[in-house]
Amino acid sequence: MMPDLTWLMTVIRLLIPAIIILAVAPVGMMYLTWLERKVIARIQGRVGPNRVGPYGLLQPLADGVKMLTKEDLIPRGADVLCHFLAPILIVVPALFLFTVLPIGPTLVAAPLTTGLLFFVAVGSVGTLAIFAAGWGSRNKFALLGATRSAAQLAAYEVPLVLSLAVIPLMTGSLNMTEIVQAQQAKWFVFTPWGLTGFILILITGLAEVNRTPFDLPEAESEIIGGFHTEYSGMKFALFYMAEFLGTLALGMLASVLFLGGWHGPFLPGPVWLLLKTFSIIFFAIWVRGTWPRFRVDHLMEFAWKVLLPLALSNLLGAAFCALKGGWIGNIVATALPISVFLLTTQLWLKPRPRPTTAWIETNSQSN
Amino acid sequence: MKIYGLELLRGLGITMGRFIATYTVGFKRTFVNRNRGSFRQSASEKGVFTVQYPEERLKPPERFRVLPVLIYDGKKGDTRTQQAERCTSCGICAKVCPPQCIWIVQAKDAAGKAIPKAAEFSIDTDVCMNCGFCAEFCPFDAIKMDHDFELSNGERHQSHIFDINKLHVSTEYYAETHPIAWAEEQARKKADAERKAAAAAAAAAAAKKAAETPPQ
Repeated sequence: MMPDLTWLMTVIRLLIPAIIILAVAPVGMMYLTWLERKVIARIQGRVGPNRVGPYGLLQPLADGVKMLTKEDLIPRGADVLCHFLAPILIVVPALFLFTVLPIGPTLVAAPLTTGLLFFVAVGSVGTLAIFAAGWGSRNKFALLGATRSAAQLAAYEVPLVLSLAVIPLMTGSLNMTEIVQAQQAKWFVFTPWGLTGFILILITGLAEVNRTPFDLPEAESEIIGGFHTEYSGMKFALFYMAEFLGTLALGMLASVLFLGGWHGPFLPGPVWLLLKTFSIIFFAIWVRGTWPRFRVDHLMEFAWKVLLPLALSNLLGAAFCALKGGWIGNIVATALPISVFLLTTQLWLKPRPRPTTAWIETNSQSN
Repeated sequence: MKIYGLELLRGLGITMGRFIATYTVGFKRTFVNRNRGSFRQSASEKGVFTVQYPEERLKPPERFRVLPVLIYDGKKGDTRTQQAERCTSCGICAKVCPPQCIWIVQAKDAAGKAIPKAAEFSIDTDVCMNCGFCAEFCPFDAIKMDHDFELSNGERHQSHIFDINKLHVSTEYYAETHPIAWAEEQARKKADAERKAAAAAAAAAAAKKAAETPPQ
């Protein structure tokens, strides 16, 4: 009699996607660093890495060897456990994100019915690890970066989730595969509420993964490296990896939710998804090559005074669309976010007169 | 009323233009107008600015000066002979040299009599400060400043003292590196020769006249 091997089948069914994610995601991340360096270099009129292999294609491997052979330093007086756990804690949630993203109609590691919720919940765990890194390093710059990260996440998570909330409102599902199937006829980015939601998720997503112009937690020109100041070697590489994995996951999320996922003519589905993902990542790199970093107070103002009303009005417009439909709904869903954006920016983003500081007063008196 | 965000979009447009220009200009550089002389140097130049140094080199400006060389008349690769050599070991270069890095020994013939050639001529390249006074003062156009700046070396006690064999370069090489100065030198020498010839002809005519008219 044959032994019952169904448990083995279950294990294999779980292991194969896990192994694929573990193998592909870091390699994808390595080549994202190459892509980023090349594109930034081109924007700045340089060539970028071109010494290791043709077009510098082996540069990520050389970087990996460098990272592995570097000395691992732990500062004196650091919280050793925190310092050690933080790089692990930041990479694992970043890898989890890929389990719910559908690459093809049946190609998804974990077809959760609450996939979107899972993504949002796991995606924000990273800040905990960043705070652990900042706290455990016993370094003022690291702690400063960590607190900045926590404040930034609290501010930007709200408009991000609100802009994602239009999707279950319109499709009636949190399952990513069903969300993509709902876009068979028309991608959500071509609807008024979808376009606003897409722009919002691009902006808040950049803040979510700490990329320029929202890279205050690791602003190297202000606070040296923020939370990863005291990390070296492979631990530092893990932070870097988490950031790029986050960018990759976010690009995939945006293309799954708004750009129709695997839908597209001629090419097979996964290729379409990768193309969409990489165009979003290219946009993120392009933004990094263009825009300067926010100031801390501007960052908070932008989140609470502009993005939050915009996301709320978009949700309202989408709700009206779902209720009424047709051209009236479309007009309302277009007009509402635009008017709210114009109103809030005019009301609250006006440049205020600079307060005269004590230094200027004393200086003008002495003159 | 001010619409926020437009300038951000304009910035994105500028960087995208830059990004695309690197590819269009690079395509032109590779396939349309190759081998441009002083490429990637002007302020209006678009595209990638990087000069990939060991593979690509920019020609240094002619007045660029690194270390003096001794000139001999002839082609590249000729063996050094005292006839072709321009240096007369007058020692003016060694006297004007501010850091005193030139050292000359005069040549002697078989009888032990000094002849106007250099037997040894050494420059300590660690001391030389590339001022170019020696080339400026040389009355025989025998010492000139070079363009070869790739001089780094693993050893400095022997190889950094350049002897006469190492310092010698041909006029052909000099004419290539310094075309303007070489043309000026040739023009000056030609004018000198013509003036001398005219003076000699006049002197000969005067002598002839003097010979023809008998003394009274």
